[in-house]
Formats: sequence, C-alpha cells, structure tokens
Amino acid sequence: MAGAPQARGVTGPHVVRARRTGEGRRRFAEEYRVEGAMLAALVLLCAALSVAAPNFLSAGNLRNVSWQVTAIGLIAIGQTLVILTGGIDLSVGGIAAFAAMVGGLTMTRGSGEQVALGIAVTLLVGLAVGLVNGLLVAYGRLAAFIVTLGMLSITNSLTYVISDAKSIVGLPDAYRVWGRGGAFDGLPWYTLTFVVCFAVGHILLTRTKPGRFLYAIGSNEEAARLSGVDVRAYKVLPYAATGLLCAVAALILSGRLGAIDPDTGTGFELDTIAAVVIGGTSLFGGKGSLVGTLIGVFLIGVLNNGLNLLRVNAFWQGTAVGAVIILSVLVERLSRRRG
Amino acid sequence: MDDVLLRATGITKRYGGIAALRGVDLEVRAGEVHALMGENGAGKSTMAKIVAGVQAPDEGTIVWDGVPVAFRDTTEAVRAGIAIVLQELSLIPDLSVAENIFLVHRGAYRGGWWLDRPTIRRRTRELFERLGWDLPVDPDRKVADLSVAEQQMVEILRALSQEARLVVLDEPTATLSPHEVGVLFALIRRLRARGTAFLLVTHRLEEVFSLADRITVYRDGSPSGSFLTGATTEPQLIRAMVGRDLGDLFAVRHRTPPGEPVLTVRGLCRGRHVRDASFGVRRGEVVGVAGLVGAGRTELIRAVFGADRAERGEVVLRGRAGLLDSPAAAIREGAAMVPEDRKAHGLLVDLPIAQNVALADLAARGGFWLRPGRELTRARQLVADLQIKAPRLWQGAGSLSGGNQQKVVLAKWLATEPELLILDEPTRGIDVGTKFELYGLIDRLAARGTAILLVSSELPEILALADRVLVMRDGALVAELPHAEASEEAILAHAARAPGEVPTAAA
Repeated sequence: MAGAPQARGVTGPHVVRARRTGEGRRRFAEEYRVEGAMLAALVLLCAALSVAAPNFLSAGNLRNVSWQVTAIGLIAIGQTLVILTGGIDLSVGGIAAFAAMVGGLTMTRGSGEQVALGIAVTLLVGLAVGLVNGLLVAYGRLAAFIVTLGMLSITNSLTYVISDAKSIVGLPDAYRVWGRGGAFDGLPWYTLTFVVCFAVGHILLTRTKPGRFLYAIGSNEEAARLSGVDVRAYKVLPYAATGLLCAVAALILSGRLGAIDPDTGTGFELDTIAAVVIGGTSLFGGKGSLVGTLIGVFLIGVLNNGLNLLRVNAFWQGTAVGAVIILSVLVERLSRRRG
Repeated sequence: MDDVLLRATGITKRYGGIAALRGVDLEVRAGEVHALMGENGAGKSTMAKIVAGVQAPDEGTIVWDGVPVAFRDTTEAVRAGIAIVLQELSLIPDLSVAENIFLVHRGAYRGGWWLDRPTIRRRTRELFERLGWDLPVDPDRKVADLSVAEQQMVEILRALSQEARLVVLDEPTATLSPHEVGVLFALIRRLRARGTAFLLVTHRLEEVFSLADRITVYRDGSPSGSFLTGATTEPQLIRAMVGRDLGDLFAVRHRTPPGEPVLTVRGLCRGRHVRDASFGVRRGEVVGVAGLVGAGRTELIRAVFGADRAERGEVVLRGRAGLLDSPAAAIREGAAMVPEDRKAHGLLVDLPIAQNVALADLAARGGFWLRPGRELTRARQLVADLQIKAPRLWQGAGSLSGGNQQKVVLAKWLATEPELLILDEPTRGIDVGTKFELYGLIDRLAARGTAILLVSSELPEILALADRVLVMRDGALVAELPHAEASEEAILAHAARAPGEVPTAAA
C-alpha cells in the first residue's frame, strides 16, 4: 500500500475549501455522536413529559428543574475533568459537607456575621482537600479510587466531629443570597454560576493546552509523559477544580436550605459519575466532553422531575436513573459496533 | 490434494465501508510452513485472525480437515485444532508459566474445579522435553518476570499444548533477538517434521526464505502472488507486495561529514542495565546501538532522554550538562525519542492524528491557548511529507495501520524540529515498503544535520544506516565499530560474547 498514489492531487483553493467545510461537518458529527444520541433522548423525554404532565413546561417547574440540576451539575463539571484523565473522585459529597461545615462554623463562631470570611473559608477548604487528593494521586502515584474513597471517609467523619452531627441553622441572609437570590429578574445566581463554570470548563477543555493535556493523559499517560507533558502537574488540576466546585455547590445548597447540614452531599459521587457516564465520557479516560455531561445532568434531572410530576413513588427514581445509565452505555456500544 | 488441511475460499471482510479482504483464497497443507506476506494493511493479519476464529468473515467458506467450519470464537477453533499466537501477548502476567499454559485445559483441574499444581508443573516440564525446548524456564516462574521473548515462546507452547495441528503466528519474531529467532525456528522445524502446520504472518523476507515452504502474498486485500519458496527470489516477492521494484533496500547513504557534538554522555549508570556508558553523537551523524535483547539498549536511551532517572553520570545536550529528570527537560534541549513500544509509549490512540502530531511541540513551546488552524496546517504538511495514509486528520490515531502509526509518532517529533532524534526499533512490525521510506527519511534527516541515535535489532538496518555502531552487552558498551569495519559477524561477536558462557538470550 505504501507509495500507492494517494490524495496528493488535492490542490487549488476551491478544492481545499470544499473539503474543509465537508470535513468540518463530518468531524462535528463524529466527535459529538454519543452526545447527539443522548440529546435526542433528552428531547424525546421532554416531549413525552410535556404531553403526559401538562405543568412540565410551566415556568415554575422549569425553574425547579434548573435548581435540581445545579449542585450535581457543578460538581459533575469537575468529575468530568477527573474522569477524562482516567481517574475518579469518590470524595465529592464528603468535601461538600466538610467545606460548608468548616466555613459555617468559622462564620458563626466569631462575633458578628462574618459572611465573607465564611464563604472564603468554605471555598479554600474545598480547594485544599481537592489539592490533597490531586497531589496524592499525581505525586504519590496512588490509585484515585483509593485516595478519594479514603478522603470521603475522612471528610464525612471530620464533618460529624466538628459539628457534633448537628446542622447549623439561622444563617445570615447575605450568606443565603447565592442559594436563593437572583441576578436579574428570574435568573438566580446559582444558575448564572453554573453557566459560567460550565463555559469556563468547556473552553478549558476544547481551546487550551491544559485541556488538551487532560485528554492526552487519559488516553495514554506514559506516551504523554514521553512527549514532554508534565503529567503530574496536570493531573493535580482536575482534583483541585473538583474540590473547589464541591465547595461552591455546598454554598448554594446550604444557602437555599437555610441550614448547613452534615449530611449534605450524600450520594453526590454516584450522581455525578452517573451524569458523566450518561454523557458518553469513558471511565477509562481520554474520551468525552462537558457537553455530554451537561446533557447527562439534565437527563437525570428531567427524569426525576418527570417521575415527581407523574406522582410516581420517589423510591422508583433510582431504578429509572440506573436503567438510563445502563441503556446509554448499551446504545453507545451498539452504535460503535455498527459504525 | 488430500493433504490440504485448511482451505479458505472467497474470503471477504469489511470494516465499516472498507474491504480489508476481497474474495481471497488460502490453502494450508499438513506439515508445511506457509508464509502470509504483504504490506501493512494488505489484509494478512485479518486473514490470520479469520482462520483462527478471532473474527468471522463477511463472505466465503473455510473447510478444515474436509469439513466446512464457521468458528464463532477462538475456543471453537482451538477445539478443532487451530491455535493463534497474536502480536499482542495474551498471557496473564500474575500467573506462572505452567498456569498460563494449562489455564483452559480440563486436565489441569481436579474434579473440574481445583487447580492441580503438581500435575501442570509436571506436564509443562514434559512439554519442554518433548519439544526439545532449550530455554531453561522454570514452570513456576511468574510470566511477568519473563522477557517479552520468553513470554512469546510460552504463548507458542500453550498453543502446542492444546494439540494444535495448525498454529497461526502473527509476527512472531518482531520482539526477538537473532539468537531467540534461531531457537524459535528450530522449534518450528521440529514440529513441522512431525506434521504440525504453521501459518506465519511476517514482514521479514529473510525469515520466509529460511523457514517457509510456500508463500502467499496479499496486496490491498487481494491475492497478488503465490510462490514456492525454492523457486522464488526476493525481488519477486517485493514486487508482489509493493507492486513495484524498490531497488537496493540499503543503498541509501548520503552523508555529510559530522559536525560538532550534539549529545555527549559520560559515565552514565542505571541499575544493572546501564553501566558506565560513555559515547557521543554529532551533527549529521547516525550512531547505531546493537546488542541482544536484554543487553540494556532501551534502558540506555531512556536514561539519556530522561524517561528513567539515571543514578550517576552526565548527559550533555546543547549547552546543558547534568542528568535529566524528565523527558520534558530533554525535549527543551532539542531531543526527541521514538519509543520501542509504539502503542504503549508512543501513540495516543484516542486522540486525533492532528493532535498526536501537535502534542510534543505543544508541550515544549505552546502557549495557553490552542491554535487549531496552525495545528491542522502543520499536521497536513507532515502527513504529506511522510506520506502518511490518513484520510482524515481528526480521526483517532488508533485507526491507522502499524506503519502509519509509526509515521505519526515520527511526525510528532519532526514537528519539534529536533537536533537529536533517538529511534528505538523504528521499523519493528513495519512492512518493507514503509521501512524503505523510513530509511530514506532517516538518511535525509542526517544529511540535513540531525544527530540520530538508532537502536535496532535488525543488523542489516544498522549496517546500512549507521556511521558508527556501538555494541552493548550486559549493560555496558563493549565495542565501537566504524561503518567500514561493521559487519553482522563483528557485531554479533561482541554482542554475544560472555565470559565462560555460551551466547544465550541475555534477558
């Protein structure tokens, strides 16, 4: 086959341009094949619900959905980055509760309402725990599964130790703005936060060097290292980002509830991993996108919301989400075999 | 006619829209070594996999021992008496040699469930003896502790232990040293004499001429020739594979006198694999590193490149002297390394071709923002320069054939415009046409002033390209032969000589 005449004759600007646009479209179709399938599923689900549950499309309910996806969505952004590198973060729920609790105690312990201090401490604690995760995984060469499982246990336990298993209630209004206030008419701060974090993450992944390196590390860590990528430094980044996003999600949640609950974040690890997997990101790393995760987050959110509206016993939600996880992977496998 | 063991007729296999095989035939007789040749992507590996039940054909029939068969998987093929040894090893690293060989044997389990260790140990030893196996491998050793060559031989043993009457070997010698190839071939000849047939997929002409009885050549999924080895010449085979004459494979030297040193290594040490190595490479010079498998060649260049940390010594690259602690540091000083194991260390199979090509340059020089337009232009240019057959640059690099994958790895390094290019077995598993292109490329790079350090187990390759040959043995550089004095005999004499010991695989 070598040396056989190949596409050497592709010259002339018109040919190149024709190829480029055709190529671009095909490339887009191929790159977002999985995401497209899940988006179709989401649209179908929404269409079915708008018929079955008349109040599904009401403004109130849509706001409800957007609230329900916010916390999981924020953390799923970080989880996507982690999983793209071939890792996993099981400690997200623990970090969220721990960061919020440390921040809340700092805020309420002193005299007066030190809201800014409380928020800053919460964010810093989230970032710090994420950093520890990342450093242990990258520089300690430990398995992400083990490190973050251990960290989940540690943060859960520390949260109970420092809070004595009691919620902090009576939070100052200024603290609660992020969870229930609005920037403009009807646009809550938390939705704006989610949109901004998602956009930053998406741009990071698709347009910047660190993003490219996360894919490279997930695809083949050793090849990336031998190509000159500082693998260890770049592996810390997604865990640190996830820690910070956990803190943001926790602030929003406790602001909305008006209480900092030591049980905040229970089950977040499974919900976020589910969203990432439904969105088509490979658990082995190297393949996937934030667009897919966004669709996955909404698919789970809309599904749960729909079951609520249809007055299905809430205990069934887990079965529905689980079925969607397995189906999404099955669909992906089948479409790959045919393609 | 009656000794035809396997007859495949009209085999067609498509991947997506592309036909890997178009209605080809194959006939293997009992007790023959049948070579299947062709360039990368010609369809020979596909055919081998179909014969052994790894894949099913889309069309065509296979008659095995007079009976039409359609194997659904390798287990069915093995039961019928056809075993395959794939390029990717399929042993379980944490199990012992004996456990691997008898993993799926019913006789290895007492009562169908309990592993009978003494029995499999005894039967493994019997197998060794029966086959006249002369590599002293302990049946209880973990497979992970064996060299790649030894692992490959264990795979072949496993195939034979399953009473295979036809053994399919896909590139069996790609990772073996000349001595080990000799051991393997001796084994194959002995088994052939007892009636076992072999289907040998290979790129190497010299192997075919020393071992095969008959040769079938494929080109682009169609048969392009069928030969009796005795009545065939090398140029005939090459023409059948490539579709044209290549001329003399090794008449490719256009050197300029070497310039100033690019790399100087002094007293480099790393464990027992690299012991006090000192050498240099100058601008426009190709320095070959020869030695047996396990002599420490790969370990040496990895230590030079900073892939593994050396313990002592000095590496001078450009102006920088000292030990390198990461490949990134070496790349900043103008070095590049094409690793031995393309899939494990070179290629990012999930990433598009264009992103593979851009990676090293991005890591060394890129800013925060990606520049996809420039990336694509550069990749397109290198793909054209290296004649990489990649219809779509955004396709995953894993979808390319072996030779083109290797070219993508090379393109990644050429994009950084290196002053020192380290090549570790650059033509392993690559067809003769692509090999020839790579030789021309190495020669052109040297003529343009790139310093090249070439590690290869293929002595003709080293002899043709290297201005100087360094010979390694047991972790030490034991000889330096200028081009004029280098010969296969001279290199092997240095590489294999060990005090008070017959030359064996130093693994």
